[in-house]
Amino acid sequence: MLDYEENPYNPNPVTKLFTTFLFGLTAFHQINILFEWGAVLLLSFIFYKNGFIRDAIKNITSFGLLCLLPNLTVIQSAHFILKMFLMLLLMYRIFYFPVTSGKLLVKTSDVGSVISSMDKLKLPRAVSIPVAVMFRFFPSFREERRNIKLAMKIRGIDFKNPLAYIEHVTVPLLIMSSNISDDISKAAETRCIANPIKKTRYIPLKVKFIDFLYTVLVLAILVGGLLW
Amino acid sequence: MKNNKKLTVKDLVTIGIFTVVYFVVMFGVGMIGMVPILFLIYPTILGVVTGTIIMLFMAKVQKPWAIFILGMISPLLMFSMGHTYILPVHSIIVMTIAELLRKAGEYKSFKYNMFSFAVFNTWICGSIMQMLLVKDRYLEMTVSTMGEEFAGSMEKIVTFPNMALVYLGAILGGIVGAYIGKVFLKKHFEKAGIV
Repeated sequence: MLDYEENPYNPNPVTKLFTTFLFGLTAFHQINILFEWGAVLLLSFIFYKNGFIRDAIKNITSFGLLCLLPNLTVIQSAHFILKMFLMLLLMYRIFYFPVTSGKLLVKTSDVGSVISSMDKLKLPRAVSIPVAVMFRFFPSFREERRNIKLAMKIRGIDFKNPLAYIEHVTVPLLIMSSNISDDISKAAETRCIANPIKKTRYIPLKVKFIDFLYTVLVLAILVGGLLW
Repeated sequence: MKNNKKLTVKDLVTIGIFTVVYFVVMFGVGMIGMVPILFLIYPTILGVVTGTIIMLFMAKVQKPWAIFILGMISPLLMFSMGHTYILPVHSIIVMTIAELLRKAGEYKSFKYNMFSFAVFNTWICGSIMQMLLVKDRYLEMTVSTMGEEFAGSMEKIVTFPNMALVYLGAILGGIVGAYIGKVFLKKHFEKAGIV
């Protein structure tokens, strides 16, 4: 993945969040199929330019398959259980654009640019500190989960008794999270986060040409698709 | 301490950590949503499983706005991952009620914390609500593929009165979860000196 700073085709997180919100509207108001394809190609283009070639191709093919779905007459006579699963796919078709746009946001944004965009939006500390902590905590969480699983395997605990299973997962999980939270808050305290002064960010947030282009294109797709 | 009632950096860090734990457990439980119809009892199961996490959190941070912030981050995260704006708006209402309930118990009383969690737990119903709101469009698609009969039976299941049952299930699940949480708090966390 290219960095946010170097890549002229990577919109900033604020733009991506805003467009995800716009795409959310497509769930409630159907837009013209041609414009939908326009949106798919636009998303794929951004994926491709950010080095996610597989995602770009997957995006086009999966949308193509989803488009075929409502026209299949075979489904009429299919089994009830099979219908249930197809139902889920149809639901996915409705929420396709917001979900894909969200995927774009998550995949192409790095922690630094997310944090500096929270600064730019002037979000209160009550929101920005927990979010920053979450980014820091996710990797160590994964590691701890593996340790807990291993420990459970050694002691021969399995899913036979769900309630006991819940207990054996949540208790160590919560104890280790409490300990990590104490550690992080000590670290934060020593860096004087409680009494902030103006600081510089390693990754400054810029408004690039792509930000305008992407927003305008998404808006055009939505408005055009609704009016068509 | 003078500013005892304000959220300190330590509390904010705790909020961040517990959001991650809550979010991951939520997704783990969310796997059952893959089987259609079962997602209607998803809020109940979520309440039972996450009761311990939130009750421990409430015991650790007995301050205003803590539960509100914790509760708003998950819907906002889900929003940025592609849910519609229904979810955050629905959550603001739910979290405000949960916050007020906690305030009524002065953030300490188990009874009020339990009710607060039961209300808190209904936020996930927002994601089912948004399905309800796209129902018309959805039915259009199902009628053409799966026939009138099937679409009709779908229409009967996902309705506003049934949503009330889902909410009720979420609240009941929350109460059960809160009691499990209370037992765990006594059994493990107080001994370990976490609370």
